[in-house]
Amino acid sequence: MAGFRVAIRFSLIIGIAAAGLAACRLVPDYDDEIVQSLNATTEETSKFFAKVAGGTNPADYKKREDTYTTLIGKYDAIVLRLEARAYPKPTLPFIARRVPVPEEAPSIAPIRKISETLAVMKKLDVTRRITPTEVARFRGIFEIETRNALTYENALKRDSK
Amino acid sequence: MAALDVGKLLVDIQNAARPIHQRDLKAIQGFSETQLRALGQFAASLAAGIASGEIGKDIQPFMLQALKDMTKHFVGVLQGLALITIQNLMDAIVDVVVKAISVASGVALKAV
Repeated sequence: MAGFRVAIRFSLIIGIAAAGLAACRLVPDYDDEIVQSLNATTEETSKFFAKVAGGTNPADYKKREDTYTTLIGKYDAIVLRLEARAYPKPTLPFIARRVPVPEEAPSIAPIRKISETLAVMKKLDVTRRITPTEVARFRGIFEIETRNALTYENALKRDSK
Repeated sequence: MAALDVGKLLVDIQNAARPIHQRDLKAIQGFSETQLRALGQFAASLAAGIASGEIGKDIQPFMLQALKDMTKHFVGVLQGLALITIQNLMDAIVDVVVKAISVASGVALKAV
């Protein structure tokens, strides 16, 4: 009888601990629409960088102006959607202390940086020639930050049920 | 009500956690290697471009700041990936425990 009581108590403790853990969320939910948008915009940006790989000349800036504006707008829209997505502020079960998670999803800052990079490039393009080496470095920022953002967002997919 | 088999529960938890841990660790390692190589190449090309004068003085501060930011973001993503792994482990463990309690209690329970 005593063994049975211990087993019941043990089951209850494990059950309550499991319920506490289940209620504690550390990461946001995967959002397929955001990932699709990011993939599509990445493809457009890659094409743009391929076109300007040889450098740019302010004389034909007007040809590129719309592309800059469109891409910056798309990245800013993705940032807004990521900021609007519910982000957990978890507390430890039964202790109510905050779990030290980042203040926002770590994919947001890289996308902001891509938008900023395109804005800097646009401003430069109006005023002077951008050398192929400079274009390659701008492209490098775009690629590294895209990998930062997409790796995190895609990793969330495995977690969603 | 049947007693909860603690030994079996621990084995089940280990079996549920191991593949998640191995899979996520492999993914984090792959991402980490790719990004570190890319950051290294970026830094080397930047230094060469500045030395040769192919990267204008007007954008050098932006490029150097970008290198700092990209490194910081990379570390932030690593931290985020670690949290995703912890979340995946927590979910898997909760599933195993809830299943074990369901069997022991005879009541069909479902993890939240």
